[in-house]
Amino acid sequence: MFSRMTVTMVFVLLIYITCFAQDNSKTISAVDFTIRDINGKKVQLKNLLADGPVLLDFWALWCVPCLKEMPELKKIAKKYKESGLTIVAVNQDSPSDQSKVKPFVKQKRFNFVVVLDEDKDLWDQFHVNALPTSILIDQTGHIVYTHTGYKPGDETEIIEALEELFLRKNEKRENDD
Amino acid sequence: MTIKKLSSSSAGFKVQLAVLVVLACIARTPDAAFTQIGPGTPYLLNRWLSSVEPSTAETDREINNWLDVGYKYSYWRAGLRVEFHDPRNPQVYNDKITQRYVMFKKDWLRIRAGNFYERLGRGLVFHAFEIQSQTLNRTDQNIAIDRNIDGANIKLSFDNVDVTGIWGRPLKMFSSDRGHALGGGEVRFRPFSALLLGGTFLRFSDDFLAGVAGLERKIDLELSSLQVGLSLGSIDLHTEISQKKSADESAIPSGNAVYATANYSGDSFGLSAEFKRYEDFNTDFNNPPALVKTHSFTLLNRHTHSLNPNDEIGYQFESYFSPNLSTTITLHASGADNLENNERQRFREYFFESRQEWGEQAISRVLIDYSKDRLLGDLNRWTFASEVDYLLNDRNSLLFDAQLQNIDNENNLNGKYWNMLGLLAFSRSPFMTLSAQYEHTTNAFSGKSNWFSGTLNLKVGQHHDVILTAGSRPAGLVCSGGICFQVPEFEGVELRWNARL
Repeated sequence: MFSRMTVTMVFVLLIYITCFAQDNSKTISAVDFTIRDINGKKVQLKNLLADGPVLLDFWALWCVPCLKEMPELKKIAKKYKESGLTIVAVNQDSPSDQSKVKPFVKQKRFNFVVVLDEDKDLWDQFHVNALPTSILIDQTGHIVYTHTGYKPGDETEIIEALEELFLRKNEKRENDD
Repeated sequence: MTIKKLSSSSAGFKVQLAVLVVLACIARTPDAAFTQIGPGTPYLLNRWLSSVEPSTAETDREINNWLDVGYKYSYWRAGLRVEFHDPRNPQVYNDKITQRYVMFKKDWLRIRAGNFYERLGRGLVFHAFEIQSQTLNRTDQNIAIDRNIDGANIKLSFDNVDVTGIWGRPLKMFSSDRGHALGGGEVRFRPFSALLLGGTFLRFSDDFLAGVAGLERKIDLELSSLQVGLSLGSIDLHTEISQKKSADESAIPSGNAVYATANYSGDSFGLSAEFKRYEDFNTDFNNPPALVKTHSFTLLNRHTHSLNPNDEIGYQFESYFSPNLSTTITLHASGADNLENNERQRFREYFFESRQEWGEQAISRVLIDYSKDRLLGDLNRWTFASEVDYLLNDRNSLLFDAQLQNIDNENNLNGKYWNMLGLLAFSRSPFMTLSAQYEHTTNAFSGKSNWFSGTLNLKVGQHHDVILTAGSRPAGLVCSGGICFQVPEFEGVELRWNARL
C-alpha cells in the first residue's frame, strides 16, 4: 500500500509533531464517561468529581502486579476518604473471567468503586496500553498524574500526587478567602 | 525463530532514525506535557519491539512497531495506527496504516466509523478484541493479537436500555485480509435494577473455499442469542443461549451454544460457577468464552486447555475464602470434554492457592495444581509454585519465584519429565526492576534443557517503559486475558519500549 520510505517518514513525522507541538501551559480536561459498576448501577465521572478527585485504576484478575497494588489502594481510599477521593477500579477481564470479579472484590472487601469496562470504552478513551495503569483526575477534571505498572513502593508516588493536589487546593482556597 | 534476515538496506537505518527522534522527544518533553487528555488534545501510544538473535547461522534481527496517534476535539476524536514490521511477514503484516477511525461521543450517543472493537453479551456471538503485551513487570507476556472490525459502530445508552449496532468486515484468521461484512446488534433492557434481559442478532456471509474447483459455496450465517441476568444482592445469575443458523448445512453446519454463570459474593467467601456447552458453534470471526483459568505462574500457562467450539461441554468453579484480612485462599476446579481427532478428550484441573500478607514486610503465594489433558497426552500433571515479595524498605523490594512441574505424558519417550523455573528480581520503585530467570527441563523432546535470561525494566518519567532482555527462553504457550498463543524459543537480546504520551 505504501512504500517503506513513506511509512517510516510518516512515522517519524507524527512522533515529531506530537512531541513538539505541545503547549505545556494548556489546561485540558478528561472526557466525562458513564459506566456500570459490578452491581449494575451507573457511575458518572462528573458526579464523582463533585465530591473530590478521582483515581482510575485499570486492572484484571489475571494481572499479578494489579492484585499486589489493590491492598495499597485500599489504604489510600481509607486515608483520603474524608478529602473526597473516589477510587474507581476499572476491570479489564475477558468475558469468561467476568463472573469471578464480583465474588473476588466482595471477599477482599474493596472500599472503592469497581466497574466493568466490557467494551473497553474507558481503556480506549484514556489510551491505556498496560496493566495496571493509574490515572488521577483532579476536581476540575484535569488529569494530573499517570502511572503504569506496579512495584512495591509505587503507591508512594500516588500519595505524593494526591498530597500535591490537596496542597494546591488548600492554597487556592486560602487565596480565594 | 522463523524470521528472515534484515537486509543491510536503508530500512534499518530509517527505523533507527525514528528511534533517535523519539529519544530526542524524551529528552525534550517535560513529564507534565502529555499528562492531559481531553478536548483539543493530540495523543500518542507507541509499542516498540525489536530483537537480535546472534546464535543462528546468520544473525536474525526483528523490528516491530505499533504507533497509535490521534486527536480529540470537543466531542470528536479521530486517530490512526501505523504498523512497521521488519522483516515483513506478508502472511500477516504489511508496513502500512492498519487502523483509522473517527468518533463522536456525547452523553448517551457514541458513533464510530472506521476500525473498532466491540463485544455483544458475554462474547458468545461476537467479541472483537485486541491483546497487546499488556502486563508490565513480566517478560513472558510478549504477545499481540488483533481482531478489529473495519466498519461502523453505534451505541445508545439510556437509563434502562442499551442499544449497540455493528457493521463491518472482520480480519480473517492468521491474515491481514478481511472477509465479507457482518452486521447486527444487541439490545439490553433493565426493567428494574435486579433484572437484565438482552437479545443479540448477527448476520455474516463469506465465500467458503472447499479447496476443490466447483465445490466453492457461500457461507451464510445468522447468529442470535438471548440473555437473562438476575442480581439478588449477594447472588448473581446470568444465562446466554445462542443459535447459529446456516443457509448451507453442507458447507457450515448449524449449531448452538449455552453459557451460564452463578455467583455468590459474601464478605469473606465468594464462589463463581460457570457452565458452557458448544455444538457446531465455530465461526471465522469469534472465540466464545473458553472457561479456562488464566494462571499467573508461567509453567501453568504453558499447558492449557484448547477450546473446541464445535463440540465441547465444560464447567469451572472458583471460590475465594478470606479467614482474615491478610489471608486469601483460592480453590478451583474446571473440566471440559470435547471431540478432537474423532476421540473424546478430557481435561480436568484442580488447584489450591494461598496468599498471605506478612504485615507490611512481605507477601507470599503458594500454589498446588493437579491437571490432566488427554489432548496433550498429559495423564498426570502436578505443579508446585511459590512466590515471595519482600519489602527491604519503602522503595526497594525483592521477588523470588520458584515453580516445579512434573508431567506424566503418554507421548514422551521418558514418560515422566520435570520442568523447573526460578526467578529473582530486585525492584527500586518507581524506576527499575532487574531480574534473572532460569529454566530447566528433562523433557526428551526439548532441544535444550537449560535457559537463562536477565531483564532490566526501566521507567523513564511517567510515560515510557523500556524493557531489555538478554538470554534465552523456551518455546511454549503464553496466555493473557483468556487467550493463549504459541511463542517460539528465543536466544538473543530483546528490547521493548512502551510510550504513552
